Amino acid sequence: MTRLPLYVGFALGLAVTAYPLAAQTGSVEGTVTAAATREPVVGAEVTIAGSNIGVRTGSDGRFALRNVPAGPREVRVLAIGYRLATLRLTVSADQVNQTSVQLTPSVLQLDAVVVTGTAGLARVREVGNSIAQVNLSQVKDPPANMDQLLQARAPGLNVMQTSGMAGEGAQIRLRGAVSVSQSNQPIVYIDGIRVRSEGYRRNRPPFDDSNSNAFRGANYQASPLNDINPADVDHIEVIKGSAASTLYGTEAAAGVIQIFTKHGGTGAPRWSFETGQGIAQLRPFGTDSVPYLNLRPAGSPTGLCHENPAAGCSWIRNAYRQRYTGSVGGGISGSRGFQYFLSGTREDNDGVLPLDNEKKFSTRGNFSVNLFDNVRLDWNTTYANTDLSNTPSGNNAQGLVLNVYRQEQNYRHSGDPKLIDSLLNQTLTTGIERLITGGTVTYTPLSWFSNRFTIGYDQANQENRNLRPFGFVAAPQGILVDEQIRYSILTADYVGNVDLHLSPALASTFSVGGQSITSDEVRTAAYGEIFPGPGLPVVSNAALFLANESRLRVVNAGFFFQDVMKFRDRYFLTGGIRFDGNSAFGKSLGLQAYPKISGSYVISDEPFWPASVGEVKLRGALGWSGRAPGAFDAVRTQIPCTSAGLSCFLPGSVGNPDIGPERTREAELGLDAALLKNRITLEATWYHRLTTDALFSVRQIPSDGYLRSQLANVGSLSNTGIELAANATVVNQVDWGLELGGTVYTNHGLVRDLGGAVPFAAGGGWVEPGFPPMAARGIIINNPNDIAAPDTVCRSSCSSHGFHIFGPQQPTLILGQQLTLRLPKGITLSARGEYQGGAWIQDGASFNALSRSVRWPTCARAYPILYPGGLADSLHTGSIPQLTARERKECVPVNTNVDTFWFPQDFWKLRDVTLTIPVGWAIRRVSSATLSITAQNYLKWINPDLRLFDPEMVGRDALNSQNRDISEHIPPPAVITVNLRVVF
Amino acid sequence: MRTSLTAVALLLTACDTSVTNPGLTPDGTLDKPEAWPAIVVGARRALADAIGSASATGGQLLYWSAAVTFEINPAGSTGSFGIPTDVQAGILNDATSSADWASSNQARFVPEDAVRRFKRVMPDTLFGKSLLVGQAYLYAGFANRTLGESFCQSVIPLQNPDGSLSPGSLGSHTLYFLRADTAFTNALAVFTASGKTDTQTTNFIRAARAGRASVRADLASWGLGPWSDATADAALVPDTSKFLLPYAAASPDQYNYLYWARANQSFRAHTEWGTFYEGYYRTTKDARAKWDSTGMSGDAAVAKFGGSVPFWPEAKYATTAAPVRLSSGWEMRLIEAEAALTGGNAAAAVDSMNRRRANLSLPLYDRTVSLDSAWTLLKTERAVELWLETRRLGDLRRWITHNVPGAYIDGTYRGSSTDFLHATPIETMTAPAARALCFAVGRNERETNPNVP
Repeated sequence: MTRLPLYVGFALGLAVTAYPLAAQTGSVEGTVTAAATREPVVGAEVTIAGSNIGVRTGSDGRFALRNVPAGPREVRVLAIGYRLATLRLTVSADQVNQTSVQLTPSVLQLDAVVVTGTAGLARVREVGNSIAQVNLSQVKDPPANMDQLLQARAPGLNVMQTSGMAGEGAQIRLRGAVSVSQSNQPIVYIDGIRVRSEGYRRNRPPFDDSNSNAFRGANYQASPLNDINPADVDHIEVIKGSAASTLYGTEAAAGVIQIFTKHGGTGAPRWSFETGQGIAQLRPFGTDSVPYLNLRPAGSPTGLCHENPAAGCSWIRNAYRQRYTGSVGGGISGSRGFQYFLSGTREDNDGVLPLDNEKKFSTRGNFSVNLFDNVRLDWNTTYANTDLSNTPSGNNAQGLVLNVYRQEQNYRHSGDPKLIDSLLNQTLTTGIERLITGGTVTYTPLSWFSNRFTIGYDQANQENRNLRPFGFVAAPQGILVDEQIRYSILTADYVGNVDLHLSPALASTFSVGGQSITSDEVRTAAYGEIFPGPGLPVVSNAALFLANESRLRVVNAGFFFQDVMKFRDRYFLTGGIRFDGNSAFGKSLGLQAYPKISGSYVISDEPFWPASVGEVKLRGALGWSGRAPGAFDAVRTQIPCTSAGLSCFLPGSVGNPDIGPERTREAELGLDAALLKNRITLEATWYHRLTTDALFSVRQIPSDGYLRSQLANVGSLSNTGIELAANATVVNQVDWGLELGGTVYTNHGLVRDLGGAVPFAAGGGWVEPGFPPMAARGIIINNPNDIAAPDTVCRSSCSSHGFHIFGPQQPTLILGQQLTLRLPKGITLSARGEYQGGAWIQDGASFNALSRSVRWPTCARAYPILYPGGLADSLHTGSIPQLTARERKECVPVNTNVDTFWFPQDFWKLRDVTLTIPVGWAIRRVSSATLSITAQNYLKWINPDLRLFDPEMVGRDALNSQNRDISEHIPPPAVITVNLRVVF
Repeated sequence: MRTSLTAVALLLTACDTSVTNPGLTPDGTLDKPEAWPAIVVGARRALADAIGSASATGGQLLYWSAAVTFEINPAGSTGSFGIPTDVQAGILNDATSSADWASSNQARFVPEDAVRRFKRVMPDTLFGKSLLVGQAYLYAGFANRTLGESFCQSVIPLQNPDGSLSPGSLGSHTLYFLRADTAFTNALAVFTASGKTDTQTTNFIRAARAGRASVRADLASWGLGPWSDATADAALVPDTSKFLLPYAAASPDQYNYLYWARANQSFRAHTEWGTFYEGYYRTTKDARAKWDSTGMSGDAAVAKFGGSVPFWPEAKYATTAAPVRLSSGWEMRLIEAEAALTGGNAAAAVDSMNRRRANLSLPLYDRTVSLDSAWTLLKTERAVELWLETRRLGDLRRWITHNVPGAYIDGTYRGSSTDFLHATPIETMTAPAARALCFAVGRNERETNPNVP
């Protein structure tokens, strides 16, 4: 915050150098229509070239540009799905100049403007790297949250759900993992402002990370991305790695997601209301004989256990979801070109578990105004409030799911619903308040010189609270934990662009800029136990209460230079370099430099190119970016502690004064094509990513006294793969049409070198040269189905310690499928499927159960052999030779070993199927109305070797981790929603 | 362009990325005198964590060595707060031992590093008589004793001339006893030089003397010293003297781990059902081996017993803050008894044992028993006196290795939950399969230390 006066000073200086609105101005009004249909085009961007003047067309396709300096001007019109249209006219002072523009279709959108990964605004044709774009106007299924909006939208963008808990976030990976020790969540920007991308802290009472009691919560992680209302989003740009993210510097190696929210248009207010009503329903898992692993009985349940805990009841419900959204956008046709967009959303979503509920409220205000002729201000603010109630779950001895799964061998020693229900006599709540506000000043003193200054602030306040009241079955005297966390990010960003026309065929855009990101996380927690009696306590009512505090600030700041050379508007070469400093770097490190170079070639603009073939752009990029170490990694530390009332110190980390960021170099080559009159579009990319100076948690020698692993820049790892996306318009009649599409994404990671460090386990995975990073390492059973002793000798893919490396824990192959069927009367039916394969997952829930002698469905065949007198019988060791090799390892409790519980996590899911019906005719006085019915994740196929579970149920700190470990959770439910959207 | 340059200049000015975050303490801060007491308390905390606290860095030396030596039986959980199946089977391999190895080595490192730091930053005149230095030596002694009595081998880093450490190599576990002997000797010297005679200093002196007596008994057992050295120290420790390692109810990470694993905070992971102590306490009501009958079962089925077993937890540690005894005068009497037995004097040995039994109003042993029987009595008395104090594994190792006369009481006295209580064990330390007599050097040491294959 100490730098804030500097930014304010800059803004004031800028205001001084801006000049007032020109005296000699006129207006430009007109209509934008589609050339083929003559239908008005809504939301088209209409701008005056070389100025800040611009608006979006309204619902009737009309626009009005005010205060346009008199004289010859170029009007540019761009809309999604159309080619750029330019119009030259002479603006007369104090007059309204009428015009009309017709747009012709374009699939590649080579003249659309992108900003992510570029220094300023850049046209798609100039960009040498792939940019995935998600345009809300083209999304058929109304997304429930941002995770869902991103899921299965682009090759290389992998969004994995992590459990079925209310509020659960998704793990997002762009081209796999770049780091084995640092977060692999991409960084997120909203309207140019850096916002929190790491998952919220898990509600994990009591409060001490280092304590194994810290599993008493619901054991999942909420994602800050889901604070954003998807209905507010206009479009999203995703750059997947260092080839494109160089200008974001030290923290961008895992890619960047930039969200652009909606802005007002021109003219009268455009009101929009939307409601979604639906149910979430858990799809079957477990086995036929033990469906849902006892959470729901076979056949019809007698009722809900939490309401009436009787035999035959169900712990899971069909959960009702409701959502209401309203927005208004428009503009005031005055001298300032004021535009606004206001929205509000209210959601109330029950979860399928008894105590699960999510209540959300969010509101947004986006405003744009021309302060001066050459100064434009965009200011966006959103506030979101989320209240979550959860059911204790996961690997939680006092949780519902674990105890239901384990039945009579659970921590209540009974499968009796009444006894298990006593565990729900607790509250587990999370409240999150989020405010994101910030603005961008665009200052264009000259047509060839523009400046953009952005300042933003993102603050989230989280409260985690867990009350196990006096009389609670597993803590009779009561426990209360309350944790308050404040996360904040302050962004200051400047970019200046100079456009130079060196010759009629050669142009250049030189950019210079800088950025400062200050992240803070302040956390206090209070813990109390032993209350005097029943009632609703506060922590200080307890006989024993404790406090805990942590504060963490990380500052990253840097500057960059970039130049784009443009030849004949079809050859483009970009070079740039960014220099970064970071508070987590070692003292001796200084600034880090990240260069980049990229090129693109619009070959279809060559005279020799047959127009009938279509548009083709070739591209290539090479860039570097990084990932910073943790705030304390450079310093040799001691950990303050207590011992029976006295203060003490224990050794912390040995420290590494030379520590710096890990550096990721990424190269990519590709092409974008729209062929056969735009009936086929193709995007193909090959990428190779190499992380050097990789930050590995190097284990210390225990006998040297420091137990914590120390991050060090050693070794390297790589990722290689391809991304293909193809769409074909199979039928394109007036009344109906059929579009088919598919994507292919591959990713093969490899640890190349550990810099002399010995192979190590980290976070549930194994890191050893020659194998994928965070590999699934365990014991293979070569003869699982043979009636024989287990053959567990590793004969191939063996680690240096003789374990078997099953493979990576992140998918190596993702296949996407999509279909859109356009029917008469504007009805459409669309569907999207996704297959993920090649990865392995550890079934921790089965291991935990079997190693505790829980009667587990995977041993249904073995139990009559082992316990011929029934389950109360003692284990007949003499019968073991009748078991298969796998049964001998799993069903004889003393033989169980977590290392044998690795399974393939291949799956296919029907991510959504949506029927969209225009119903404007049925509602009076609306300009449009759409009814859509969507079923998400309703159908799925899971590799039968996984046997019981769904691979998208890992929970815990899954957003940030690389390992996949099934815990005592539930899979994400299917959601069926009926959505009505009306626009006035 | 001027605006651009101004903006960049402003941003560069704003590029001060230096941040000092609170929380963790830079190591150099501990050189200041105000930090010295906390360094010594850290040594105590590290030892408590190694022997068994609920802290994440805590080991389970007490818990798992008790499980291997049948001081407790498993009652359910094998994961959190539970007894892994290999430990239930008496196996303490390098993978299982890693956490214990790490925390035990930190318990040794912290006081030894404190001594090195004090030597560097304290005035020489203070170093030789500082109670803080004395305590650091004291905890270094107990930490080394714990390592020697628990682990199969030693790895001790080498100190370079500049004070830094180089990775050590595998050596005999008895090196820890020698190191402990030196530490206790230094502690005695410093405490004595302090010139203080208050109760606290007197207790420190007795603790150091008792600690040295115990490691000298260890050394004598391994043929590395005379028993007379042990008894000379033991004789100077009064019967009721004791030195305790505290735990605390103030926060969960300082809880006594063994107690917390049986505190029914969902976990009921160990029981006295089926142990020698079940029958012993039933018969004698000897308060040293007290356990509770709860009417409950353990928290999960136990494979080796074919189902759930009664949850009859030990009652020696009845609270989260229950301390663990590191040394006592009563142990000294048993050292004197063992020394007498090695000298062939059964009657003198029984006399020493009977001092404690008389104190507890227990029936006295017959001082005319044979030497073999006297050894059996000694083994039983040490089992009961030092029950659940992380000492049994070391005792069994030195006795079994050296074929000391007399029988052992350690074993399981019930085979299943429906079995009756046997008079002799149906499973012992050596049959049907030999159980571990020490923790292996941790796999984490083998995987990180180039000198340890």
